[in-house]
Amino acid sequence: MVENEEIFGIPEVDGTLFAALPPGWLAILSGDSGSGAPLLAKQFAHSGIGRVPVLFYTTFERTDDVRRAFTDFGWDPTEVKVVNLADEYYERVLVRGLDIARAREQGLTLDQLVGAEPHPVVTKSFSLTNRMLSDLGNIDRPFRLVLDSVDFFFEVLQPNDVTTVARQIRHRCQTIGGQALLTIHSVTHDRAVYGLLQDLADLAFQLRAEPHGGRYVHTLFTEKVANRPDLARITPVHVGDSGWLAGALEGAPG
Amino acid sequence: MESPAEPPSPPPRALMAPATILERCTTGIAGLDDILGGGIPRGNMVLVAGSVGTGKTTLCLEFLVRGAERGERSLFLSVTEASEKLIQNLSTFEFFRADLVSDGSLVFVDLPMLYDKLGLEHEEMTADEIDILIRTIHDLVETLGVKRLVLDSLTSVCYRIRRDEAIRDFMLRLGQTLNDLGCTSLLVSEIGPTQGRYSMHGVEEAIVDGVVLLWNTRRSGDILRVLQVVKMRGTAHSRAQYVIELTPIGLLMAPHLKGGHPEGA
Repeated sequence: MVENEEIFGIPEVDGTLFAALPPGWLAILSGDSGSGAPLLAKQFAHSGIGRVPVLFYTTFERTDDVRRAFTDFGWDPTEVKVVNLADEYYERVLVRGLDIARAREQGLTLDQLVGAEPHPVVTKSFSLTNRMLSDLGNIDRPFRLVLDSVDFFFEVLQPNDVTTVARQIRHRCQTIGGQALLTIHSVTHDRAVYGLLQDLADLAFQLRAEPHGGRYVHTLFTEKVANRPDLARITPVHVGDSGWLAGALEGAPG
Repeated sequence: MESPAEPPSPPPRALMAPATILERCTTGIAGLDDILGGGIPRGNMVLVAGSVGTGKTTLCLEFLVRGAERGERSLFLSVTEASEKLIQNLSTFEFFRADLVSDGSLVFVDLPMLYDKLGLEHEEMTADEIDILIRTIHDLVETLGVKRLVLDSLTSVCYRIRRDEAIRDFMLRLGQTLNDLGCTSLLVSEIGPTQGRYSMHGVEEAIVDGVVLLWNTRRSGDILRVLQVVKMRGTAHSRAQYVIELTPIGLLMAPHLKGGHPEGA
């Protein structure tokens, strides 16, 4: 059992979930754009600091922006390994695609062929899956991992491959006691695959933002706790100086 | 090795219009130009077929070096061997001049680099990718003013085209493109020592303008290299077999005498 009794560091949400979970588990967090799921994902990462190695894979933010968001809430980003998968994918795959498109459209000069450097060999075997799993393979003790978000995988992989990624992460979690959170910012990709991810996860959360008066109020739904449906709950939340807190904002519906 | 079945030939000269003397691309290889009546008709695409160790690449390289010496820009498209290594091997021949490479008269391009730059790494090229490959070769030949081209090997390229009809189409278009640009080309075809044809798929020899066959034969304990011009459109030529010797000064040819004690291929 991992000595870590915080999931998000929100006692009203974390509650007794840890007692109900196996040593290694996979959680998914869904939330539409504007719901605040990326911040909750960072809070999940922050809650692991000091207990286990923390890996944060971002697919849509700049690495500096991720770190700044940590700092803004008083969380130490230096203890989190931030990996920017989108940048790596762009640099190693998409840039090559642009080069190729340019070469095909404009033709090649002799200088581009004689004495030139080929595209790095690694680009040929670059895989988002391998990039993450190789990191996980190097960890031999409990860890905490965030993938924010899995939406990017839907863009570059076949839907079935996305579930395979999730299965592999979960397997690694189960093997060495890891805790992983995959965020899904939009569930419009493929409802069937989303359903599979929900089935696969030990925990499923959804963060919703609803307009109320002149502002949005947020609610965190603990939709699934594997084998413990009685622990599912609905928690009003809001953002304070130290991140997400339980409780509705003043004036919001209870 | 017995010569494979004869590929399609042009109509007998007697049935053709009054003979026109086509411009020749002098190979510069002692003996070969004599066989061909002065050289390969300019713009012809010629298959140089042979099994391993028969001298295909050396013949092709000498063809390019001799051309570059005559001021004809020459291009070697290498699939199977890195240019650097080819040049290193070539430097052991006295006929090779490094200055031809440094002044750009003799250009080596590694096709894998071209594949990489154009994203043509799939195991089987699509029709679009074949089109890109032909267009790129065309652009290189046109831009550089290439008059002699060697593709070593056609077999490697066709391996990734696979379908006979696609290979036929590729070769027809490549031949037309190079001919339009006045570029004479040698395409290396790798065949087995006992293969009964001149190419892997059997369609290549039907498209090309000429076939030069090379093979090894044993005689009195020696392995001799033998060359035969099987087909050459646009010129009368000898079909006799010639023993070739790869010497430091280049490829030398002598009639292959039928006497002796042949020991098979």
